[in-house]
Amino acid sequence: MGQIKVRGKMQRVAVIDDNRVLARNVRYSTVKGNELISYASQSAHIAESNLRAATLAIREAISYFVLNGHHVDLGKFGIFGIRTKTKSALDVEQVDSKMLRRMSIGFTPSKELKEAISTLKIEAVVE
Amino acid sequence: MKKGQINVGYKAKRVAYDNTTRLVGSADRYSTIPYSAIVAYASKAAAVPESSIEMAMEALYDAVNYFVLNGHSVQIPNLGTFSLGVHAKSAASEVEFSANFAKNLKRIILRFLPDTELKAMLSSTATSTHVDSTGFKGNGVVAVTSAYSAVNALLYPLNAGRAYGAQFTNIRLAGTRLSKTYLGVAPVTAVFEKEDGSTQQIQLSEDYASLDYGQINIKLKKIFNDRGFKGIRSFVVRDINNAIILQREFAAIPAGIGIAAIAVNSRPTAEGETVAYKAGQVVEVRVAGYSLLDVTTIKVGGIEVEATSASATELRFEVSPNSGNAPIVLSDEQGNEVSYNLSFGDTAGIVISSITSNGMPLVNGGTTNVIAGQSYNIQIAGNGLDALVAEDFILPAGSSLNITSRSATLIAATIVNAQSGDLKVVHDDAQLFAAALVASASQVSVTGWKGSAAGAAQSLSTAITASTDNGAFSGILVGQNIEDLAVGNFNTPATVTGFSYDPATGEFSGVYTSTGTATINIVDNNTTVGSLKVVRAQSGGGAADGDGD
Repeated sequence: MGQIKVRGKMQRVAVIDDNRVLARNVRYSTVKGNELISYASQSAHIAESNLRAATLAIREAISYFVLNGHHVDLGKFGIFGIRTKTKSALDVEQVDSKMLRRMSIGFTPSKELKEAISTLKIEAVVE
Repeated sequence: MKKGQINVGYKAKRVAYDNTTRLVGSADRYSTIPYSAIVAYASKAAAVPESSIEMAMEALYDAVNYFVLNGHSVQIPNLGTFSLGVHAKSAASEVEFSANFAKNLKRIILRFLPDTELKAMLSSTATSTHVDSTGFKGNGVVAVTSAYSAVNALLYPLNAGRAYGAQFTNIRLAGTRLSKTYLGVAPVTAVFEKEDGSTQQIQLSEDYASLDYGQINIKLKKIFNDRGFKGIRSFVVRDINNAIILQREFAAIPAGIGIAAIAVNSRPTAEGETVAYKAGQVVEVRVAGYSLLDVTTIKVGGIEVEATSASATELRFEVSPNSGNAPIVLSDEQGNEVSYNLSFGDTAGIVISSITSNGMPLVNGGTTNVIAGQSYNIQIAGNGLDALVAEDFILPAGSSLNITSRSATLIAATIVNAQSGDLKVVHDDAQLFAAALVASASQVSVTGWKGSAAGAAQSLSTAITASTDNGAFSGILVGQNIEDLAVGNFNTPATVTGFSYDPATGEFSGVYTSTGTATINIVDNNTTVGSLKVVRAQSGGGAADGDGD
């Protein structure tokens, strides 16, 4: 079971024009790609080259399918797909490609990941 | 890596905060590619066994799980970074935060931030938009700006109270938003007169009334032929909310000769109106009606004139009218007499009485839809038109006008490469006519296809695999208004034979007689709305999927 710390920090909240204590999870270092590959290689006894080839190939698969409108199921990780933000229109004549404001790659965690998150031990700390 | 293509569909949705129905866009979602297919794809792409890919994914999952769930951010090479986030209610003080933390914590989320290369690919992805036609019921104002009947391409007005019988080929309604989106599938209800004088009401299906964004075409001749009717007595057009937008009633079909409508100098007239002309000018009169071969006498303002041509449904003659009321009266040998009231007004200078585009009237001061880039045949009717010069015609940028013939009363021309903007006719600084041309996109959009077996739709970039035995292929077209397409809309290469298409179901099939890839372009209103790629491997080898754009 994992454990994370959530920190309370006094901040100005503009919409209510008041100071409130807001929750932020304490974020430790970022595990870089090379470190992740090394760790996974040692713990699962898989050649680093295979891991790197796999991540590259998975990226190719995601970019091919996701960027053509499909969603991609990455097993225990979850599902990746395109998400869009568009302006709305009152009539058909207004609809054109300029209404598309932003596209992003969305991610929905798998059931396993969600369950793992739900069992997290959380500790509150105040600065 | 080929550039991706995302289709964004706009669909009517209720927006709660301002209590309106608006078109809201979202990316078309095709099938979800299963994990096993991704592993197989990655295995081929990286030349690594599938088992190794699966082991690598398990190892990565375990590593990500371990680090992320202990508060770290984790970067997966070439893919992106995962991290946790917290949603919680704020607290007034540190003490309250600590005391009520468990209660205030709403949820913990797992965030994914794609890496820069993936983002760059996303930004270069092509997008296209289309509107879902499943019924936009928002503030769509439906308007019919003119209603005419057509005989031999000449337009006659639908004069209320006149009789319109089986000689009329079509009724045309011009306006805006006359597509299924605004009108529903069968928006026209009409009452027809049978041979015995009784009537029958029919809701016109798409077989009898075609709907376009700017035009409704009621196929009278087809209805008369199929059902054996004598004439039309009334029709009603309703929008998708069932509100009446146009209603017309006509008289019973008379015995003997009859006048339905009259056009002067190729301009439709409404009964009772005053037609502008120049003194001494000869005007051409066309009469649409019944049994016109039986007409023995034609009188205009009491003066007898001779017909220049006649058929059972149309009569033409020329007259140099006097100013003032000049009813047109036709009579036959049996003493039947029918009349149509017109006045002629002597007008100096230039008068434009009407402009038609491909047979449909442009409304002075109104809006007319055009397909950007197309050409339109124009007829300008009026008086003193020989004084107009090319510079008098002001067109939207990118458009041009070619005058093919002219007289004092009629100019024939073509608008080439029509674009959005104002069409104006100005002479000596006086504006004689103005209409706004509005580009109307093709109403057909093809977004994908389905295999012959039921299943998720494939994107257009996924090729259809033809049989390696005889090259046969088939599928079902997916998109908007694809029922408007016919076989003629598919530009099939010579290597594709026996191509067929069923507009009712979207099913297509054919035989690809060669190997490699064949492209079938789908063209609607001179616009390519999609293309299908058919792939056939060498005989004896496995069929391969294509990856065309």
